Formats: sequence, C-alpha cells, structure tokens
Amino acid sequence: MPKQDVAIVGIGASRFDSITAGLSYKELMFEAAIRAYADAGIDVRYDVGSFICCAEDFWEGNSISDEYMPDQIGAKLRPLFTVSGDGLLGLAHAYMHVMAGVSDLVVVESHSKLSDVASKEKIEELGYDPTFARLPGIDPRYLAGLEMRRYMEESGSTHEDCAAVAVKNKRNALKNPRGVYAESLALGDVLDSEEIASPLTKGEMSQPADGSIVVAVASAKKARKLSDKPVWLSGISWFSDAPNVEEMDLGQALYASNSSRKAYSMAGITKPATQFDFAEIDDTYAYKELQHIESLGLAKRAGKFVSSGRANPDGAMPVNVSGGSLGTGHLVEASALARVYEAVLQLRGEAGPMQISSHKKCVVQSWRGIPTQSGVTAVLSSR
Amino acid sequence: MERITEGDQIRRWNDHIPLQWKYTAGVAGERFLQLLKQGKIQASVCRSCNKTYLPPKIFCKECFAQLSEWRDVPSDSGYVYSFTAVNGEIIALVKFDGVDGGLLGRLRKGREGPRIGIKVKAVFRRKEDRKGALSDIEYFERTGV
Repeated sequence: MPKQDVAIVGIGASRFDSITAGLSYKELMFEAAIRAYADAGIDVRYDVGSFICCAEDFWEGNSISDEYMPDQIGAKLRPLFTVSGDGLLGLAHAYMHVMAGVSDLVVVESHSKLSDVASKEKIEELGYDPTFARLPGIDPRYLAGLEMRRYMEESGSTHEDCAAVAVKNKRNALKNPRGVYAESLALGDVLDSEEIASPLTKGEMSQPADGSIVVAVASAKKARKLSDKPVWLSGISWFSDAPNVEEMDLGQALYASNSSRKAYSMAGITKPATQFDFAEIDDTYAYKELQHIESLGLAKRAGKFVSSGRANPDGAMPVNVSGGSLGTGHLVEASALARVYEAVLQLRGEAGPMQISSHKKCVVQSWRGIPTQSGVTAVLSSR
Repeated sequence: MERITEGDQIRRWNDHIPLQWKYTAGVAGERFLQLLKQGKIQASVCRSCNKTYLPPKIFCKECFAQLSEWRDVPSDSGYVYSFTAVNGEIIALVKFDGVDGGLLGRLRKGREGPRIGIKVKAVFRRKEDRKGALSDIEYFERTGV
C-alpha cells in the first residue's frame, strides 16, 4: 500500500476565464478559498496552521506581492509564505509542513490574473539570461520552437502528433465547466494556425486565463476525521535541469524524468505505464505533453500513443481529461494547481460529465514554463 | 457576493514599471565578451570532469571546482543543435565540437533550408562595429555543403 501520511481534504476553484472582468485577483482568491474551506468543512480562522501561496512578482505587477496574500485566504496573523514557483511546488511545501509537524492542516493557493498583465511577452523575455539569451526583436517563445524541433528530432514524434494533443485537450475541455478554450478542431486547424516560432503554431500554445485554486492538505489523522474521501499525496518531488539555454537538454524533460523517479519511489510506483489510471500533466505547449508522457514513463512513443487515441478519456492512459492548459487556459503558476484540482475531482468520482471509469491513482506533473527546465511530479490516490 | 453587473462600471488602474538594470557580466563573462570583440570564442574547462563550458563560467557545475583554464573554440566548428523561424529570422542554438553548451544566434538563410546537424561558422561584425556583446557575432552560416 502506498504511503498514507498526507492527504488533500478540500479543493476550491474560482471561475476561470480569459478575462475575469470586475473581480480583482484578491477577490478571485477569496472565491476559491471559501469554496475550498466549505469543501473541507473547516473554519479557516481556527483550523489552519500554515499557508503557502505560489506567485511571481512580475506576473503580479508588485515587487512585494507576497505581502498582499494573507487576508483574502483567511491567513491574517498566521504563518504564511509565498513560493516563487508553480503551485505543485507549493503542494510539496505543504507535504513537508505536515510531515515536519509544522501544522496538521495546511492551505496552498495559487492564482493568475493574466488579463491584468499588459506586457506578458516582455515578462517572458526578462526570464532569460540578460547577456546571452535575451534576443532583441525576437519573440521570447523562440525557445519553445527550438525545443519542439529538437524533441521531434530525437523522439520521432511528428508535427501531426503534436497537433493531435491540442485537438484532444480542447475537445476534452468541452465537458469541463472550466474549459475556457474548449473547441472542436481538426488537425489541419491546429497545423495551419499562425506560426509563432516554427514549428510551433498558435493552435499548439495554451492561451492565458484568470483563475485561483485553493487546496487544503492534512495529516492522515486529521484527514480521516475531516473527510470520507481523502486524496492521498503518496509521493512528490521536484527537479531543475540547466538554467542556461545553451546547456539545456532540449530533447527530453530531465526535470520530469528525475522528479518522477523520486516521487514514484516514495509512492511505490514501479510500472507507471500500468499503475496509473490517468494523468494530469503539463501541456503549456502541445509538444510538451508528449515530451512529458515519455519522461514520466507513461508511454515510450508518446506521439503514436496520443495519435492512436490511447491518451483519450476512454483510452489505456487518459491524459488531461480536464482539457489541460490547452483547453482550460494557462494560469501561470496556478496551472499546476489546476491539474491537482481536476485530478482530485476524478479521484473522488466527482468529475461529472468528465468522469472516467477507473480513477484510483494518478500522476500530476508541472513545468515552470520557458525559459526553465524545472518541474514537479506528484502521485495522488484515492486509497 | 456582490457583483458588478454593468460593464461600464469596471475600473482599471493603468500603470507601468520603468526600471533599469546594469547586469554585471562577471569575470568569465567579461573575458568572453572582450575576446568576442577580437573575433575569438573561448570556453572554460574543467579537466577533472572533462567539461567545456560555453558561455564560460568560473565554476564547474559537476564537481563544484573553481575553473581557471580556458580553451579556444574554433569559430568554424559549430553545428546546428536546433533552430526556429521566428519574427522573420532563423534563430539557432549552435553547439561546437567537443564543447558543452553553445551559443544562440541568427542563422543566415541559405539556398537550402536549415537542418539539425548542419555545420556552421560564426561570422563576426566588422571590427569597428563590435561592442563586446553576443551580437558581435552577426550570424552563423553554413560551411562547405
């Protein structure tokens, strides 16, 4: 039996949309938080001992954005810190807080208010090394183009295979109330869309969305008291490959293979291709889902795997039944917590029209986005 | 919760952040950029790990040793590791024989389309136009087809 030390006992999501007009980011956080605390059946002002937010100052537009996090999630005068990383890294911190005895109930929050950000591409450009990798006049997504081509060269996955990911995920999102970018598309629609950084097309890129997700994490004892459907966090690990573009292994996602190896060993997973019922993983760009499927050991040849339908909701290993970031929108640091949210719904059997029949165990994985080679892998199970 | 129901009631506060930095290239970066100005490419070397760093650094990420050995990298020993067409240009990550790492730059369009693995050389700007920046390499171009 996998470890049952730490469990997710409550989840909440705000509305997701390309523009959440009229609501501030704090109000989105509040919306997600009250839902998560109702779901967990807790009084946040008395029950929660530690809070973790995941946000980056540049996306927030505020140089001390962490200072503005407490009140709207019920954390006034409580231990709170902000992780400058994706939401799954926040979940890893929550795991450690529970295991270390900091608190038996920890809250993780992450959000996106990308519709407030007028300089999205400039911020992406500022992520690059100033001396060697900021290329004036060149779209910062150039690295995604370089990586996609290198991945295709090394893996044998075709451009059609990559486009098939976008078709699948946008179709899956049709059944998801958070499916902001749900669409019924043909391969040709994706392949013929505007080329941003060849071979990458606009149809293969997730588009920005607003939203907040809050997750409540508890010790085993507390979880059994609070919930009749705890979702066990039985393994989690994180990893970074080279920080410099010139040294990155663009063919494969080493952060995903390394972090999954550790997370799997914690969770007793030896055959990921058969032991998981489904996967919610990073698909910031369509080719990334393929690269991640391979690096996570879910299939050897991800291109063929997806193109032949084996990653569909009724396939051998459903991948991003929720629609992923391609179907529900990219929420910057919160994208990974959105995957957690969707995975928990599936594991509890509460995914409504998205529900798949086998839903006991899954892998959730994140990537921090360009220009990083950083990511987290987690194993979640309902028993 | 109370909601805004009229679109014209929505207020947004417009602001911008005009900031500037002066990024220090550092010991390794300074040496590399000064040599680039002379039309030379140099990498730093860790003998014990058999690693050659480009762009150079003064520390080895494998064994954490301080590095002080340098190696000339022939500017015509490059090959295309990957490339992308973006904003009307071709951007390539060029690696060099026997070197870890590489350099980003523009790839000059030739008669044939670029491919992964083709051999390329760095073409420098005229001496008087060089500034001690990566852009001193004007572009990479294919060598002997």
